[in-house]
Amino acid sequence: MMNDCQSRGVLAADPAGILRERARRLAAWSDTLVGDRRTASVLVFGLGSEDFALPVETISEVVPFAGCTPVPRAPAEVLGVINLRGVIHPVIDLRCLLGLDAGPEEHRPAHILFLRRGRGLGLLVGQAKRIERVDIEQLLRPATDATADHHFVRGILPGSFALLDLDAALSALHGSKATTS
Amino acid sequence: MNLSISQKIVFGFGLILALTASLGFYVLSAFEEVRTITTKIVDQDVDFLNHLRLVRRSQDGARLCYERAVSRQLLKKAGLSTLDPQEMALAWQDARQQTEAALQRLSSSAKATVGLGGDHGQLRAKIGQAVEEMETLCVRLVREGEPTFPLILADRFAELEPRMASLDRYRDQFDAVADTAREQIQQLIELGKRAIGEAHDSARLSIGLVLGAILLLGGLSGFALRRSISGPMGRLITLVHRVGEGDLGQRAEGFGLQEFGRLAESFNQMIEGLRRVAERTREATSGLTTASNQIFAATQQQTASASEQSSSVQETTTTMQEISASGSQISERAKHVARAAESSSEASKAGLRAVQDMGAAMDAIQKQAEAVAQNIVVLSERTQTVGDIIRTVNDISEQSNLLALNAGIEAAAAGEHGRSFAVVASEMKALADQAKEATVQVQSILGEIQRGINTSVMLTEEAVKRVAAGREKSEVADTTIRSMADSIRESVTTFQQIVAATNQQQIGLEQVAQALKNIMGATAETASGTRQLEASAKVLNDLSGNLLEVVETYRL
Repeated sequence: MMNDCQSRGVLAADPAGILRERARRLAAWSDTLVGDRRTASVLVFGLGSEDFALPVETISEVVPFAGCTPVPRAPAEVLGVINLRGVIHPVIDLRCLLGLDAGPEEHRPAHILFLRRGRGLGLLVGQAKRIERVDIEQLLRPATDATADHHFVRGILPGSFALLDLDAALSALHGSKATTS
Repeated sequence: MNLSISQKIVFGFGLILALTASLGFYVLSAFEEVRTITTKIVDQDVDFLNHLRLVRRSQDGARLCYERAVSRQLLKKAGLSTLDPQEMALAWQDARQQTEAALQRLSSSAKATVGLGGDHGQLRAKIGQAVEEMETLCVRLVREGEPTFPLILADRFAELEPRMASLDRYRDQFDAVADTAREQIQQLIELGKRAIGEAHDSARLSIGLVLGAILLLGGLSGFALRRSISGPMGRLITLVHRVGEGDLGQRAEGFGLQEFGRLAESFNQMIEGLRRVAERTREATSGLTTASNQIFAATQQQTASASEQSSSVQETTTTMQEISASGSQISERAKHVARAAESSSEASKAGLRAVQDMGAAMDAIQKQAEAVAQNIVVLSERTQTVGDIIRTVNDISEQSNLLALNAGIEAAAAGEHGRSFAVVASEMKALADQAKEATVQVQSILGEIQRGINTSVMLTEEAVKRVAAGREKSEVADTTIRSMADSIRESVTTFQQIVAATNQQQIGLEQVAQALKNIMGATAETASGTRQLEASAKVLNDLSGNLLEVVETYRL
């Protein structure tokens, strides 16, 4: 957010200011690079009214959502299928899967995150925002006797986002698939 | 003897008239007798006397001629005169003839006379004898005298002397007879006079007697008439006197049926009428007293009201003068206003020109505003285009962002080998974010520009509308100023009329003032008349009091 605030005044500032900012950011990035191995890269995206994150390693590609072909007799979470460079990929509404309410950012352009594993499953999310490095140790663990939502969360970075447990989420998908089928 | 007064009067006057007529007839007969005697004396005796005189004169003339002839012959003979004696002979002939004619008339007169009887007749007979004697003597004289003329003319005076002696004798005889006759005639006249006196005396006596009888009879009848009239008249006068003293209780009775009876009846009716009149007069007098008192009071009120009216007229006159003063002020102010209205008319013309200039300026403003609106529209279109470009840039930045994300993902997938690529991807991401932020900024600025343009468009439209409204208002102002100028011109006319009307009003006010002066005079006259009326009412009041006293004297 600070970056946003500073970058908003970029156009008003002189080019020397822009160069200084850029140098500062590069320096910050190098700090993370030389850090220990407990850090991990995550893709932060908006979903509903909150921000969520997935590890970058689990995602193969991000594309803008431009509608998909609905599939008959599909569960409610499955929006349909989409053609990406000649390959048919199923698309799942992650918000519906997680049971979240619709947020204020729904009207903003939506993106589809294609997962590496499986058959390239597509997750419909809000807006893919950025790739961030986080300290795993700093993540707060949710309580074990928490609600079902917290079941899909591996950890929370306070004031920023919740790191999703993709396996648990997909197992819920499969579970619901089993119950439905 | 029940005769009416008129009958009595007719009877009495008839008697007196008859007596008077008989007296007149008697007097006339007596006059006739006296006249007869007088005529006899005058016509006969005096005539006789005159004839006798003529005889004497002609006889004397003949004698004078005879003597003149003698004297002329003597003078001629003595040579003292040349007068012809022959002429005197001829004149003697004339005188002789005159004497004979006079003697003839005397004789016929003596024969024609009638004697009165008595001495008168004897005297007349004697006179007749004397006349005859005179005729005889005359014949003798002629016979003696005529033959003597040739003797005279022949101067034979000696032969003449004896004849002249006889002539003188005859002449004396003639004169004596004539004197006798004259004396007798004188006696005759004396006798006639005496007869006239006798006739006059007898007539006077008889007339006096008859007059006395008439006077006696007239007095008797008058006394009787007086008694028959004055008796009832006295009674009536007494009654009338009592009535005149106010005693209306009298009645006239016992006057018979003739005039006095009717008069008494009328008198009674008159008393009755007087009684009614007195009663009514008494009532009327009391009413008159009341009325005169009322008139007096009313007159006093009228006097008071006349003075009030006078003061009111005075006030009205003062008010009229004030109105006149204010009217002249109105006139002056109307003149001022008329002049001001004329200057306003000039100002309205200037205002009209200004409004027309303003309309032209409004037109120019409208054209400029329309040009500004067109420019703004063009600007708006340009801004739209810029917005499109910005959207395109935004899309590009979005795609660059995604591209950077995918690059980051690919770098992560490459593991340690992709670490430097991850830096590049991160750098790309930062650039894409900056581009996006810039587009967001530009978009917000464009939005502001757009809003400004919209505001400008609206303001321009508003300005155009306002210019149109201003134009309409200027047209309205034009119309208003024109109508104002018209009304000002009308006002000028009206004020001039007001000035004229005010002048007329001044004249009318002067007339009214004059009329008020007249009213003042009339009021003063009315006041004086009212004072006179008041005095008259007082007098009337006194008179009515007196009248009441007078009426009170009538005893009913």
